[in-house]
Amino acid sequence: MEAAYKQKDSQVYLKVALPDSKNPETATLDSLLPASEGRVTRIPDHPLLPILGIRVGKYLKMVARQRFGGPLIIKVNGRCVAVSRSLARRIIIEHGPAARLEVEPHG
Amino acid sequence: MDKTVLLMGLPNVGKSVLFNRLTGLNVKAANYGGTTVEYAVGKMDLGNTAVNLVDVPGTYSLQATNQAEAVAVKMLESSVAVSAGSSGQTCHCESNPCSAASLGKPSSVIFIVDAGNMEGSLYLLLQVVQKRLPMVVVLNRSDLAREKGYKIDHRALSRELGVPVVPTVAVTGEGIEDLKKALIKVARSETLPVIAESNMAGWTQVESLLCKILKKGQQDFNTPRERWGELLTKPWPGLALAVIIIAFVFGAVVGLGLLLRQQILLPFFRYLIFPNIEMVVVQIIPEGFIQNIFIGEYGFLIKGIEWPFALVLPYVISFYFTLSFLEDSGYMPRLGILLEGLLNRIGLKGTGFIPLLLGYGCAIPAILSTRALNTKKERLIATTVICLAIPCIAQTGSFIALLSASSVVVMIAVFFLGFIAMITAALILNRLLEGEPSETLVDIPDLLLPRVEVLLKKIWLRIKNFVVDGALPMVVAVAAAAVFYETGLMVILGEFMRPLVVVWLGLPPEASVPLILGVFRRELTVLPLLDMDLNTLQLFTGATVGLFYVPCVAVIASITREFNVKTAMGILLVTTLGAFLIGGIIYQLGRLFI
Repeated sequence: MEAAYKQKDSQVYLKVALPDSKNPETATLDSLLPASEGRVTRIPDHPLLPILGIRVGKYLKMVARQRFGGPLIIKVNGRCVAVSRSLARRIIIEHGPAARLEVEPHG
Repeated sequence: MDKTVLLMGLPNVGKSVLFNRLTGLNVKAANYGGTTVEYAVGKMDLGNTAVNLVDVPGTYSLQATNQAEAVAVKMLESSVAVSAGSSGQTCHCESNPCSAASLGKPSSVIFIVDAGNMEGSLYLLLQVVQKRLPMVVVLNRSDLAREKGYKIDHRALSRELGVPVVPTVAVTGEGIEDLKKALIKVARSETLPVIAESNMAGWTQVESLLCKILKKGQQDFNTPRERWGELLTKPWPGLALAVIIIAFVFGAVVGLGLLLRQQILLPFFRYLIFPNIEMVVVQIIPEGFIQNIFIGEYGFLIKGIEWPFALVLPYVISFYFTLSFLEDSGYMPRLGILLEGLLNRIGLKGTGFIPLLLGYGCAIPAILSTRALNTKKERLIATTVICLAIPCIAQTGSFIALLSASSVVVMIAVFFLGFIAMITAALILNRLLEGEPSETLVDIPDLLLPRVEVLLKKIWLRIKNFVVDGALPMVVAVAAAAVFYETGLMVILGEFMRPLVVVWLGLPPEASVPLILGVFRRELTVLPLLDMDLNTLQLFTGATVGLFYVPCVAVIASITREFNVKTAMGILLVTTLGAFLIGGIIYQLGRLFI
């Protein structure tokens, strides 16, 4: 069960994350749903973002979205980072058609 | 003057643990960034010379995004007067301020690379390399790298930078001897790191360096550590688990404390110690005024020992036992993140949760730890809330002693009232104070199973601190109260404060004494009420006043140091007025119904 899930995940990863993917679509990081992945294409000016691994070209995965408007948990470089929604709204990512997105990104 | 060696690295990579290993001292360490908000200095033996080792607060870069980081940068540039306590004392042992004594320019740097976060570590390392100081690189948590399925070629790193690289596991002591040898060698030869095109500070350089030294395994699965780490961080099941964990923590603190008090400490003092003290005092000192000061109503050899050691100490032990475990496990930042959305609404960040929790132990380390918060507004809100509505553990112990026997409902009501006041105060301050909310962006540490010996050391340090800074002053304060009581000054004071204490708060006249004593120690606003035969309403009023009443002098002093006199006076005013206002309202309302 676990392995099958992983496998499905890594297929998604390959589909959306390769740089030469056919139709990359862009979205803000806060619209990515849990277990989806994307590649960073633009980041706002924040001294800590690059240091915590959120840099242009990096692959990241949405681990969880906290309740009550809390932060998003992103996995990058094998480490979890909490990013507030307002900051995530300014991070632009690239993903494939298979990635799961929130229908109403700012809802 | 002894040479100065700086211990540097990212936040939460084990600098303080390594510092303790190298100096034999005991500074506070925990599994989240920002534990070291002030630096600590200790002597380290290197062969036949001694050097001053400085535990520098963790930084992500040399650009200093908060106050703790600014300290580190200044230290590296040697423009700061590094201060050291006397004879190898550290300056951030929970409460002691430091005395200033310049240590001068650092002669070398020990840089800790976290094997669990190579990229971030190397980025900072390359910036430190540019400062051209002799250095030794420590590859800490090398066991974690193995677990995560990759190998780090430390020899390659050493070749690239031209400095020795020593793999260690600081918590177990693995590699510490090798590190010392490397330090001695570097101190002798004074070789500087190589500055080349390939190791200028920058991400391209970091990535190419990583390619050379990091050998990824084929591991694609999540380790149990990662799986649990994620489960505890996701809203489901994280929030449900959080409720269970908080309930367990609360139960452990209260239950363990009660057990220690009822079964061990109280019988020990009441049946073994006090009869002997009384016997000796009665034989030496004749009956009367002096004897009463020793063993009378407020006799400081009886109450002065019973209160701190039999009533408060059990909870100090049970609280720090639980807190230390939470701190070292890496769970606290996760709890902060889970509750962040709620905390935001009262102007706090998830990281602001940690100072609040520490405040249930003692307000002083809690206020110090607010330094790791990003904005002044967040610091002020957290500090005010801690002073106003979060009882320290000594106070909590006293509440339990005062209320648990007569009225558990009142006890719950008092804590609930504190909670309401905390939210109200934070909401008001959030409106009043200016300042934009800062963006949350934090690294979530790996979960770790705390090591028993590290835990025990930490708990022991905190208990020792309580005895020295808390219990002994309490004995003195009780002795002062005894003199007051026996000389009749207390009656005069009671008359003077009658309108406030008796008319407005409905307490007996002698309750003015705890209000005076409470300025020195917070729990002393509560403990003297024990022997006053109060009714339920009086207990509720008294406990409420005690909860909101002024923080102790030591706390006021540390607010003055951390902020300024104006802030300290403001907090003093708010807490005093708040205590009398809310206490009075409770009594006046309660009177109508009883």
